[in-house]
Amino acid sequence: MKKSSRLVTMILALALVASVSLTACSSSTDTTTASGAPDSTAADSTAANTDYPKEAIQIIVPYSAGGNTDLMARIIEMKLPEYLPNSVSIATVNIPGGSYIPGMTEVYTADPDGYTIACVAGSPLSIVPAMGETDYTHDSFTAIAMITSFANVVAVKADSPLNSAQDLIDYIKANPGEFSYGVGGTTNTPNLALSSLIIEEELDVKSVVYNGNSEVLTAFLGGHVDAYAGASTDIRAYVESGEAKIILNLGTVVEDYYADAVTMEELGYVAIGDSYTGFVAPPDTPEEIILILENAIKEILQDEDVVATLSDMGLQPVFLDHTEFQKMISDYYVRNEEIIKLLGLTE
Amino acid sequence: MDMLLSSLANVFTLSAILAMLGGSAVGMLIGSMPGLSASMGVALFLPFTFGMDASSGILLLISIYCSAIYSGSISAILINTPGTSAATATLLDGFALTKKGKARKALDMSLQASVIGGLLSGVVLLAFAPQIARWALTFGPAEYFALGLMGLTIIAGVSSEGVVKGLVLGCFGFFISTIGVDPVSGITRFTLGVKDLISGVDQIPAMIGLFAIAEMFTQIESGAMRLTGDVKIDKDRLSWREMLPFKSVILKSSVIGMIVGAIPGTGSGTAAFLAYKTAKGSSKHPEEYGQGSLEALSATESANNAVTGAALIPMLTLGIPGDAVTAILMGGLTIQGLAPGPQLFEKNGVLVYTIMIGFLVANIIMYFEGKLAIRGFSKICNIPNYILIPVVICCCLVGAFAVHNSLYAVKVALVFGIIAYLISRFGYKNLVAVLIAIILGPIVEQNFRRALVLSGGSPSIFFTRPICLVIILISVGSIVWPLIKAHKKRTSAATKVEK
Amino acid sequence: MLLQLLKKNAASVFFIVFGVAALAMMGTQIVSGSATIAAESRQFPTLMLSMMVILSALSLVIEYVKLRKNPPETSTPVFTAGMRKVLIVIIAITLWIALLTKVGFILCTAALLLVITLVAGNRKPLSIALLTVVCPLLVYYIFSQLLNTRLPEILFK
Repeated sequence: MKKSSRLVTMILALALVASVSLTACSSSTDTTTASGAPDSTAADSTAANTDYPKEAIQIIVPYSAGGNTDLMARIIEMKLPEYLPNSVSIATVNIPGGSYIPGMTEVYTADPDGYTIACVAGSPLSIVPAMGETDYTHDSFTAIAMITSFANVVAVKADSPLNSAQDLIDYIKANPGEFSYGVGGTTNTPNLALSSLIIEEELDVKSVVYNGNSEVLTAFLGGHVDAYAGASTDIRAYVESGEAKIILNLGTVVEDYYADAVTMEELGYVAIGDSYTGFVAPPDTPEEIILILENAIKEILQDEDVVATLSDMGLQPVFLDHTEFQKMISDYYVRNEEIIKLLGLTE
Repeated sequence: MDMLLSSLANVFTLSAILAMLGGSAVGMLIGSMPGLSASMGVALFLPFTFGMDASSGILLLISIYCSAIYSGSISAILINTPGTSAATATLLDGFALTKKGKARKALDMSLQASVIGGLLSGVVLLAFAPQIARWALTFGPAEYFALGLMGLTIIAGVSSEGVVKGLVLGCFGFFISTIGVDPVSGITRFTLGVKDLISGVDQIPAMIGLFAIAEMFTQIESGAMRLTGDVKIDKDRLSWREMLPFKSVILKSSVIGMIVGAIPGTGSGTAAFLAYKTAKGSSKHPEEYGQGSLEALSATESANNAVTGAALIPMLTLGIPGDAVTAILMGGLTIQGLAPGPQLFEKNGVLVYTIMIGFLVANIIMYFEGKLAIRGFSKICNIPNYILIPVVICCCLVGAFAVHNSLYAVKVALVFGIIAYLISRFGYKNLVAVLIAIILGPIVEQNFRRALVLSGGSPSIFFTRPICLVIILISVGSIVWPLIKAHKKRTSAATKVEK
Repeated sequence: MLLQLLKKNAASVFFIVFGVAALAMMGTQIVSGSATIAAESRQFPTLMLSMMVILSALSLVIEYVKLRKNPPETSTPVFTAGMRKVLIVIIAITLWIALLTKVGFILCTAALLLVITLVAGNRKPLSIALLTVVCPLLVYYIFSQLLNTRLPEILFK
């Protein structure tokens, strides 16, 4: 009896060791094949006078692992070695929490040598600095490029009698204090965009604030709030399954599944409802390094695999170079700062 | 039917099996180290899955998750420090059993109860996922508040020195949970001008400090050579037959775990506490709870693993992540081009069934690997303190660092360790109440405020919604009922004396 | 009598002081442009802090009553020799945190392990050497290579 159980133990132990090493090996070979690609862009690179990159690059992501922004950073991370002049290893580091401040501060204080960059969406630079708690502001960093942009939307249940933004406004005016919408944060992109409408039209609505889009989705599906205000990507599956319909586009990006929804611009408001995703570098990073990264990213966005993966996530690649990207960040910031003051969140 | 067959074939491929074997082992190691949590383990291995095929990748992550939730109990039992927050309830009775020399029995019970809980939740996942998901959606802010409140009432029962001290600790923990950005209003609270405090006090560093570091300090002070002193170690194992008396407790606790798991936003730690409380309330030997009761252990262990299968329900049927781990699992699926959503079943039925069946297989693998692990881990009791304490402290510090890749969490852990050590030296022994409040505080506060927004400021919402009302009544009842019983006992004893 | 009470229940005093201080700071710590938002945000913290103060005071009273009924025979010392050891370890950990990014992970951790194992009573040179050398290297390898976490750069001799 003892002998056979010992044998079983030995076999299991060996299987364990084998499987752990196989798992570790199979994935490390994947990363090494990526970085083993030849210098494909060496001929195009105008950076003959710098030898960037020559060490590992870190992408700091002030978001939790598995979220949209994190995934996009990882998509870029996996492709960067192929498109940079020298292939180096890239690592994604998550520093979530604290209104993105710890993560962004890490990049803000890093050396401007191009080896630490950040992947950001809308809030960290276009919203959070307006609350007054950061050392940095919207234009403190050196922008690199934007990779995608998606719109935030307002959606209601498919069987709701409201079919357009005007229906929504009329209904709320006729029934003040009854309509409720869920949103993932008081100072997040969709809420600030929607708030400009609410303040302007003097609407009496119930704003139910959750921690992030998925909680809003849960509440919306359960019928606890009348409308969903958040990322179009998260509600898309439900629009396609026929359970929800989008009646207001808070941004400017238009996709098939909500092509009919009126946009905020059409209603006469400044557009700030797009969630962009892009990369920035520490302040005073040399232009040559920025251009190398910007170029690499531009080419990555034309890569078939990348386009396919993004499209599975409901996104299209949208490229803005460093000047345009910085302008977008700052334009958004200016408008957001006003709304935050109007909402009474800062003194 | 052929979807089921194809998914069976998927599960039993070489790469999937290897993934599950490896994942279970890794999860067991990560979970048992104080300082490393289940979500950290899953997050760290997420990049590995990009190069694998979808089923193997997801099954790898799921195996890590299940094993980590189980193995947190190993260190809770052996060294009085939980390896993951799911194991905090295990502290109540686990270490007490070790001090009696019954560590082996405790470890066996933990493994066996966890596997049962996991398998039961896997079966329910397979059979009833869509229906349960829809039911879980009916939980709105009022219900979440009530659930959180019910969780908080545990504090009254868990403090060994009386309700008053337990409540003090609970209030302290609740206050700590309010530090940082207030999610509902967006303004910061009690950050004292320190940038780092804007993130608030995270569960994991707090837990590391309150239980792991403080325990190490206590051990250092006592100067003992070994953690359990000179107690003779009972090498008796716990057979499956010995588990039979606990079957109804395990069943009830697993159900509690499944309910808590299916509701997005509540986790293993909460489930374990609720199960503990329920089991104690209906136990024939409630006085043993807290002194080393195997029954208590069976309740907490089956509940916290029963959460794992149920947590997959909202993710697979609705595309909603219930907690940090499922959010990462969803990320893993998304980047493979399989974004979870309401149509995942229709478009990718085979994948979904593969995950569900793979989950069951992963639990079985966990059982066998766990048996191996226990053999190794039991020896830990023999390691002298002067080796064990430095290693544990090192793991704690590095683990706290790895949470957010910053020293902030380490500082939080140290501060909480010092506070916990001093508090337990000067009057308050059992600090579990603090952690319960840190975990449940946000759920209670934020949902209370949301419910009031929805009701326009009227508190009647809590009494007109049926589920909410039921939960509140059960919570109140669970505090009042024991008091009534005790009073009746006293009066009947008094009348007996008179006669 | 009072001293006895304090020796056993200083923690309750801590909670009272903490609670009162936090309540006093409420006005400066929770601020907003809008008074209603600030008031709403203050509700729960105020509730919890107040309850904490009241219940701690209650606990002190209860303990006092218990002490009067059963005064302890011997007087126990407040600060034991063991606490000094803990203090040393606390200082060591604080130094570890402060110097981690400057001196590097491996050296800092080796030093910390050395201090703790000595304080805990280790007197075997082989054991000490093995622990302080093997453990940091092992942890560094596992975390930075296998798990892809970045630990502050080390300075090898």
